[in-house]
Amino acid sequence: MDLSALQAIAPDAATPVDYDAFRGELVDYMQAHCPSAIREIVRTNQKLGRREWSEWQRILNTRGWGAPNWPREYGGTGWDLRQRYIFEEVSAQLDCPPLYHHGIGHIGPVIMHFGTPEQKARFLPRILDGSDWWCQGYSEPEAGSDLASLKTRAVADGDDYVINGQKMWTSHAQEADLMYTLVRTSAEGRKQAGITLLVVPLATPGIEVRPIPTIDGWHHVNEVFLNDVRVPVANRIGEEGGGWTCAKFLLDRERLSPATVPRLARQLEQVEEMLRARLRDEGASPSLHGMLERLFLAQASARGAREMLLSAIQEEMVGTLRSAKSSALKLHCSELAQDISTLAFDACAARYAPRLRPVVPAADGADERDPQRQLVHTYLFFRSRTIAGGTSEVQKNVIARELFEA
Amino acid sequence: MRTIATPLFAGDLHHTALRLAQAQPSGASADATAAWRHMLELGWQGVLVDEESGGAGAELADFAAIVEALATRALSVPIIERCAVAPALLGACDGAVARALLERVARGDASVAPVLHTAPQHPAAQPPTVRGDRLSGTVAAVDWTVPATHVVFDALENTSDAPLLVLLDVAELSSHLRCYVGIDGRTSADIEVAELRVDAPQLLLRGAPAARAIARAQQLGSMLGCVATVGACGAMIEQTVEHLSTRVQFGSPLATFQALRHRVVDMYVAYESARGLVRDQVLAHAHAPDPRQVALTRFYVQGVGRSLADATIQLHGGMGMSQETLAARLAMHALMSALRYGDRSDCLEWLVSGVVEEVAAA
Repeated sequence: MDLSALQAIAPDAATPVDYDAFRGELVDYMQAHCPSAIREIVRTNQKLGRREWSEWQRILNTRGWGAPNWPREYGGTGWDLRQRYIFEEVSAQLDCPPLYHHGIGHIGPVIMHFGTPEQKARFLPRILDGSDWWCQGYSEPEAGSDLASLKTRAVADGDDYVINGQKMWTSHAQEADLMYTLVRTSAEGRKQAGITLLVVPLATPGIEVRPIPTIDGWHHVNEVFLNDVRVPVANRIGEEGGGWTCAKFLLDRERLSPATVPRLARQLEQVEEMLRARLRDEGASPSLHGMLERLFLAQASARGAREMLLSAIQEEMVGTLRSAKSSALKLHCSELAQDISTLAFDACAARYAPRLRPVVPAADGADERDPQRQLVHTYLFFRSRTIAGGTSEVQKNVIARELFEA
Repeated sequence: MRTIATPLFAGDLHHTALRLAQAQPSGASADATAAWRHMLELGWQGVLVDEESGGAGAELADFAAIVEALATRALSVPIIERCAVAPALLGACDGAVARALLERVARGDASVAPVLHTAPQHPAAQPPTVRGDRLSGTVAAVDWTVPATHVVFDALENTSDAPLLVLLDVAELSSHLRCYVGIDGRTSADIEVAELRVDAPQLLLRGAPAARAIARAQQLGSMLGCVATVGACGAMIEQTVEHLSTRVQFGSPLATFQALRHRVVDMYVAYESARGLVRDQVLAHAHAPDPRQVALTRFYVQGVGRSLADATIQLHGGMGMSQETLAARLAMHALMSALRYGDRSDCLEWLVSGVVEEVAAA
């Protein structure tokens, strides 16, 4: 699809946009202002932390580009979809960090849609400038794919809710200020009806965050224990019992992230560079031919994913997007991300799988900057791509239900 | 836990190894040293060593029973390296040093970490070189998970490029180590040496006999790596069935969802196929090692191990990502077993080059 198709349905289109000039402006700014140390971290596939993300968020916000997906009234760019897609392409191409999903991508739009004026004034500016950092408290030990079975309870007590329970797989909780979390406020009726969305400051007494060691060797997920944690009723987003509606709103947005495909394309470029270097250094061989075949298939598949995303965005804007398509996109992109990372793993695992973590890391950070070592981390981390944000099995059920109308 | 996997070679050794593995503390950070000491006490370094050298002179199948059982708990010990590959290398040498060391190995008084840089089916790294009585280069990825007394490895003779089998005492190496932790929790070390003096008795074997010993040791490690993969695969299926049977989502055990059941069935079919192949090849290998069959077996079993590792993680959901879950550690064990002694690329290269040579010669 030509990107121009997205122009006609721009949300805030005021004056005609020169898209080539816009792309040039993005390139110039990102090249000049994204710190080289941060770009190096992205380029070498290292794990990003709050420090890098928030610095880039602050810089973008200074330029007025902190929230490409937000409307102008909340400090967003008001860009049309073509501009947003170009932003993501340029950002990925230049190894700038993606926008931090929990703040800008997830809870920001939920607060805009369901929050009170006070909540919008309190939370949105601090998401925009990167001063507040958010995490998502959804999953629990017994509530993963079946999120509506969550048991963490919140009981109203005067002007507060008192929360008890446990959240799990809470990414970035170790470095977040605030957790938007789903809690059970009623056991009556349908289980979805008794769920409420609360904002919980993680410095509140009664909260304990414990890391979950994962196979990739990175620290990104945690268990969060809540023991008689008091938060004001003013921290409730939407109505009591309206949490499921907020969650569905958010999950629908999660499946349609314009950032996904450009990042896949950049990963493919990196793998192609690696295979070309190997071809140059070692010459052609049956195994390299096999890897190139997989690369070509992934390249074509990524192109297909791009078209799928663009048409899905277009359909979303005019209200015709089917759940089957957004789920198909999530399914396709997560599996493609795994295919690409598996190919990269196969190319460098013989050397780096036995040497994933140096017992005494090099003082100058050289180990961390080795992109091939990080590709092994990435391969292991990307096993979660078909689990987090709705497993592939759940996506297939959504698609099948719609295709068969049952 | 339901028993689904059938041991490749059931018997006392399998049961003993299984009990030992099950008694070890679980978890990613569990220290393997105590388990390893127990294995030395049980004489496992001597299982494959001839009786005249103080070993048990057992069949390869007997030792495979141990390897498979340990793999079902993803135990991070260099059982194949220390108990099969190193004794095979030492056993191929005629000299007094090698013979004496092999006897100590069989008794558990010494433990030798082997490295094969130049094996035909797994050219792993540029080997160190020996010029006169001086050794220089890197001995790559020596397993350092549990204490070793010696390292035995292949090097190249600088003047002739002939392969050499070299023995070093670890006391000579401690200042040259760089250690890493791998995806399966095992530690390996790259050992850099520059102009290190090696005396004649340390050069255990040279030329064609050394090349043959290296190739055979690699094939032995390769076959036993397949055994470890099969052991991990069987355990992954059992763990997955248990998880799906007990984990309730949407009001029902996950095991009631047909799509998930079918994926486990796919795992099981692949496992049984790999298991049959590996069992047959272990029995055949003991009597008439066939390098092509070893490479073919490995090529196939590696694919099965990868696909079962992926499926196990996926079917465990988030728990499949946690190092604290046995299923996740089994997946890492299977992935790493598929890389030691040659990955799929190595097998493919070797198999294709063989066909090319045959066609050219026809």
